Amino acid sequence: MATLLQPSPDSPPADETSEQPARAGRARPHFEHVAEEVRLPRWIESLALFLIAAGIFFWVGYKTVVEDGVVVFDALDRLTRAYMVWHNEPPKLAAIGFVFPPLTTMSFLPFTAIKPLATSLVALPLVSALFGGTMVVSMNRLFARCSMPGLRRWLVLALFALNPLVVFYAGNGMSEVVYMALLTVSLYCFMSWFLTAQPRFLVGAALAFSLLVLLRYSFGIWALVIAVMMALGLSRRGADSDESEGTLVAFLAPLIYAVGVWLLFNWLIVGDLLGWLSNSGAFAVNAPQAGAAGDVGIVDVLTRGGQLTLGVFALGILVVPALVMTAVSKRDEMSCWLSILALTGLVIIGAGALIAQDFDVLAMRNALPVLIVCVAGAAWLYQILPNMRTIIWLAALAGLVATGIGSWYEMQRYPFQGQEQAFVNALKSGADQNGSNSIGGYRVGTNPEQRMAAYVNANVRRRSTILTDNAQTFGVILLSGRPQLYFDRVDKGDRTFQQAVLRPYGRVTHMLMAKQASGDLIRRRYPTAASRVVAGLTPVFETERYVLLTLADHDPRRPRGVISTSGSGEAGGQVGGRATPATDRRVSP
Amino acid sequence: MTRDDSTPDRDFDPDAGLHEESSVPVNALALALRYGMRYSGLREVELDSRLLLYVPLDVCERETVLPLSVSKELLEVATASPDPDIEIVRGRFPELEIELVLAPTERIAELHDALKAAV
Amino acid sequence: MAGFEDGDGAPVDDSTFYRRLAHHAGLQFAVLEPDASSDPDFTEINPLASRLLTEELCRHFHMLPIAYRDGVVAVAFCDPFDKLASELATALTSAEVQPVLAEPGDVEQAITRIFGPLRTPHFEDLGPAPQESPRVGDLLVANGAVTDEQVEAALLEQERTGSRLGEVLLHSGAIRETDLIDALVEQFQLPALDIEGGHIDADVVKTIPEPVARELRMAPVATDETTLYIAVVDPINTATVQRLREFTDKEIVGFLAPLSQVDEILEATYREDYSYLATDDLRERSPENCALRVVTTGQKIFLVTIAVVTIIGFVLASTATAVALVGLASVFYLAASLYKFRLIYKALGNPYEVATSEAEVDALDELTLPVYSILVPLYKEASVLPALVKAIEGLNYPKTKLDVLLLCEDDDDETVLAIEAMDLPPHFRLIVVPDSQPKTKPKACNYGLMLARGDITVIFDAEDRPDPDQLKKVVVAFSKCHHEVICVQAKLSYYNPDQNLLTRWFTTEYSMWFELLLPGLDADGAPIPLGGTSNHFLTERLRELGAWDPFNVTEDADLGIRLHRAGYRTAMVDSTTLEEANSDVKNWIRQRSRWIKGYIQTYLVHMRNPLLLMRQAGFAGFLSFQLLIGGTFIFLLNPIFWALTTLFFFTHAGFIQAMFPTFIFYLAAFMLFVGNFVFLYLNVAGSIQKGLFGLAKYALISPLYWGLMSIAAWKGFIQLVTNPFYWEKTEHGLHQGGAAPAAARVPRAEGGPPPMSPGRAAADPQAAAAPERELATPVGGR
Repeated sequence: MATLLQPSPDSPPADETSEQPARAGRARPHFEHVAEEVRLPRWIESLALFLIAAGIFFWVGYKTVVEDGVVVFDALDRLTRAYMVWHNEPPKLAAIGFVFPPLTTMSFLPFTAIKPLATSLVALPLVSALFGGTMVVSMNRLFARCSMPGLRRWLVLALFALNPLVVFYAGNGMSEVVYMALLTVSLYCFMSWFLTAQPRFLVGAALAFSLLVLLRYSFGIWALVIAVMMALGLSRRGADSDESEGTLVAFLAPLIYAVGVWLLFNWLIVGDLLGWLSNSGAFAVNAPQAGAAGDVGIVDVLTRGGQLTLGVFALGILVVPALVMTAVSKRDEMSCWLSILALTGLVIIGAGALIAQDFDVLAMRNALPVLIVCVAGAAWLYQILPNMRTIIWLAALAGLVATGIGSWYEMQRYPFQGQEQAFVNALKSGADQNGSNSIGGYRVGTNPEQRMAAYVNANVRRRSTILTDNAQTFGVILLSGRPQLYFDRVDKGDRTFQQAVLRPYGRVTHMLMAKQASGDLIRRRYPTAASRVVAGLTPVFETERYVLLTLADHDPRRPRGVISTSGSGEAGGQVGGRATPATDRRVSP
Repeated sequence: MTRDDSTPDRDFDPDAGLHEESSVPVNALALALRYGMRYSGLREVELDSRLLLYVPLDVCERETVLPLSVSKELLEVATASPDPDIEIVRGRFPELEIELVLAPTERIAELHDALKAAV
Repeated sequence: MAGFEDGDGAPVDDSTFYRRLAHHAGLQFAVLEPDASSDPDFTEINPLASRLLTEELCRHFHMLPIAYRDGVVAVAFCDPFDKLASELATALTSAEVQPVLAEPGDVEQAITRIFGPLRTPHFEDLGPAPQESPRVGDLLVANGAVTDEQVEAALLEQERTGSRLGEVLLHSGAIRETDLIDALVEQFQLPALDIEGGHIDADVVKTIPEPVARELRMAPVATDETTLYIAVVDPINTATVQRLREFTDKEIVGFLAPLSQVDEILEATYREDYSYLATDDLRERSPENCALRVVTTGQKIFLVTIAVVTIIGFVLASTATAVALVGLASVFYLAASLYKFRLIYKALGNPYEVATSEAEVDALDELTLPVYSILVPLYKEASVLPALVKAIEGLNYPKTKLDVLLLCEDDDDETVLAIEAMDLPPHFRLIVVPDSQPKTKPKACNYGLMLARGDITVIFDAEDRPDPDQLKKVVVAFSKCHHEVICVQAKLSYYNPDQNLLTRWFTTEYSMWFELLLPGLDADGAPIPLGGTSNHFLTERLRELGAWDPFNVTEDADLGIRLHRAGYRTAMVDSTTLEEANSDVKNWIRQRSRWIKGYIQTYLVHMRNPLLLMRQAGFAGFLSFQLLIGGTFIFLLNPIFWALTTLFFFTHAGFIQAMFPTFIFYLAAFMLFVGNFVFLYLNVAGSIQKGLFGLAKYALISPLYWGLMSIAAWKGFIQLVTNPFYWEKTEHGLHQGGAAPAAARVPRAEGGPPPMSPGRAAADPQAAAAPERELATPVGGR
């Protein structure tokens, strides 16, 4: 890392003829003024901060998610998959799924091993709170690395951590807090690497980024931007090609490996190397009316971008220009990196929305990475401009206050969101949000899932008898706690599942499908089943979102003898073999 | 990635040394003020074991005193109490004037240890 | 506040101080130095008076009677109030004592003038011999052996290092031993010994026990009824005679002889004993620590029981047994990997080596530097000699305090002749290790260790290029370490990483092992398996430990564990020795298989009594031993798991799935995809830590290297397990030297030296491995 450093004037010149390899560990810091002793937080401080932050996040999360029903269904889906990894029959790692980035589900794994943690949904706030705590601790370290003393950094930290949007995502089980934590860690590592030239920080940053990519594919773009900037920076400082190459290898190797393994899994298990790149575009189960896809224009992007700026990272209005100015005036590389990263975050959102023609990309949560970069940027300014520290600190406080207020309001009115409004309502009123509506067409709560799960648990005993598309009915599966009852896409893979959907008779006794979600594979095959017009399929129980059907022993449209593949008529269940559309044995919800 | 950077300040204890700095000297200082004597914190003392020829180590330890310097007419001795029994020194060097300087007991004891180590 | 001020605050010298003290105490002050006779206080010492007290008393109490008149003795004291001293003086002189004050330095010098110099032998130096004056230099110049300039330069070095002038000149190559002897003969008017090639009776030599003879640098050469004739390097003084009185009451007559000749006599006499000790010392002193017996009866019973239980398990419940085995293996795998990861990650952020700054190295006083023995085992390596000599001459250490032992084998005429032809300066010693089994590097080192004169001993390999400051850094490190530390391990790296892919991998592996893993172990206080060279020992402690196990092919790793068990510790120092990386795959596999075999040997030796090991090494040390040394078995497991994984991906065979129930499957999958990568990536990190950026990309394909390692591991393991003759033969006393060596099958990895004489190639499989004189080094990587 020798060339990362401007050699100090009194340092002896390196002995060119020496055969002894240079020790990287002996490197001196990049900036003269960093020679000031940086006192990193002691473990006791970190532990205290972790406990406090995680405690608050968990408490708020528990209250809103478990008690008030503000369950984000994406998180519920990941949780269900993690549950199935352990408790499906047979347990399968493939339950993690191959469409969305896998790490969120994996982060649930240690907690879903214990059934009640998952089925009571406590795992959602718990996992988030742990990562939230990690994020706060890492941010505290980052501030300390930037020479911000104790009290000052704790104040900034408090304002950052208590931002309502941060609190929401640090308690609802979504992947956001996981990547916020990892992004903080990696930024901390980058800054430390920059300041101390210790290779282990580069290693840390690289590992963090490899995980980030498995949380949000778009972080791959961030990584590329960083790699390019690294290469430019190294060559600007006259590093030899070996050093540039080695540094880049060290940074990119984990990332490429992570993507590589992901590709391999997709190829081996799904059979489609790049399947994960195509978005399924299914609608959320609990927001049937929502249709985020549409005509996204430049104007939309700009107005929404402005709204996001105010609502999520108002601090950036101060920080980004200041970083750019510092980068130019002091020729400071890290300032340049951070400003480019913040802009990259914004561009990814805007361009993503334009390219995918999907307003969902403009969702509030997608702007959270930029918030992290902005906070880290403020800390860096504090570090790099030692004469203006108090001003920067005050400005950061003001910016964070403005951000907090902005978030509070935007959460209640911004159109593209995931129940932020319900969260604010729950906080404001303290009331149960089950059954209420939230912006974006959401019906808040899991009552429909709970009732269906209760019905299934009471009436179905045999394994693999309910054919269902778990990508839609995960809520029911998890809340029933018995994934072994279901014959789903995880059990034997999609192909077997599709065959079963085509010829369910004799194979299964029930089918469970989402009533309005167009992504439900069973509903696509039997779009009219819920309205009792398909021979052989009889709805037996119905809730707001789901319908449970019983099946005839054999396909009523074919003569009995023909179906040899469906095996013996082991039809069971509560409903008799005869199935006519007129038979209404449905128990009203 | 967050757990192992505490090395530089691992052993740092901001409170270390605070007590001896602030509480102990107060007594000696108070004595000095009460008796109108000189006071020294003995912060920068260059120990000279030869001075033990003037005040033997056993006297130093018994009376908590410490010879600091000697010049043609004056022997400077640090002491923890305003009135140490150093008659033996006066007896040996009748012509020599002895000036007592009050100093913290702990510091004198520390310097004794250092002297012993040096000897 | 200065301790003593002279008005202007400057501290004063002793002279002023004591004059003033005398004045204050009302005493007379005396200057004793004859050169200062003009001083008004000068007092001439009465030589008769000065003998009134014994030298011991004078030295102890720093006093000296200087005059005696009319029943009054004037005694110079440094402490006028030292009651005991004055009472003793009064009692012993039976006179009234009049105290006079003098400076301590003055008194000391006066004592020396009167009684002669202090004769207690000193540890630090073999001594500036006080009776030897710079006259040697004059004599040498007069004899035409050296120039004035050379003497001037040598005098400067003498001042710095405290070594004798003659030796300085000798070690710098300015003169030959005979020149020095000539000069000394002239100076001391002593006869010289001239017995080149003459026969010397061993019984006579043994009159003086070997350790004493070595210490006093002398060897008895002949005797008659009244006299013992001794070859001596230094003129005999009374103290020497005193010591020899213990062994003989004959008159002693010394003949000057060069050190090399004295050494030769001693070595010729004790050769067989050395050889026996080198081979059998450890085995006899503690057979439980010797690898001569691979598996003890207890271990055999244990292993057979395990095997029987496993077979029964497979017969009765094959799946369950397979699952249990896979589960155990996976858990062990995970534990070993996590342990290594922890060590490495910790070491990435913390310099755990003993810090030795340039300033500290520069501040070392060469006067007090210990003598350093360098053992260089050589076998058929005549070609590397010039580079070796250059590397050792390049070491920043006074030559007079170096003791380099070039350890050759008896049958290696080529190297021996080459060394003799080089006419090396006298700090190089050619030691020919007698032919006996096992002909291993550790035996040669043991042999050399017995002849080593140094207080510190280090092993270097023939092609090593140690950091020039390494010896001094180690001296600094020893001075900083706790006394438990008796070994300092320097780092090893390679100077030819860019030769080919294999050397690149090898170098990344070494970077990780020496830069990260060993320092991590050091920080943990866990037993450190030493690397093959550049381990520096306190010679005496090493001898006490029984030195290296000549029957273990990784004797260094074994010694590291053994010294830990004995309660000693190893420290790492930040100094690198460059070696040559093995660049040929076949040779590499041979070398590695040997290392792995040695690690398994080491494991078996130390696991003979696991409870004792745990008691001696502590629980953490025991665990570390299991995970690191026992971790060697992972190389054996690796190919099995890789094969199962591959097979499963392609066939989805049911039996494989059955062997991996959920939890074990997840564990195995985690290890496969995360664990492997983490280790691969740590290789990258190690390279970057070491500043070897160019190797980073090669570290990425190190799984292929692990594949090679597994091949080597199986080779080593099979050698150890399935060839029954291999080990049974050893039990029948190979050390007795009955079997002939057969090096042909395993030449030195680097060089491809010619095989030994074919006539001696025997079917003894132990011997096949024995002459591999290679450095056993760590089994690194995963």
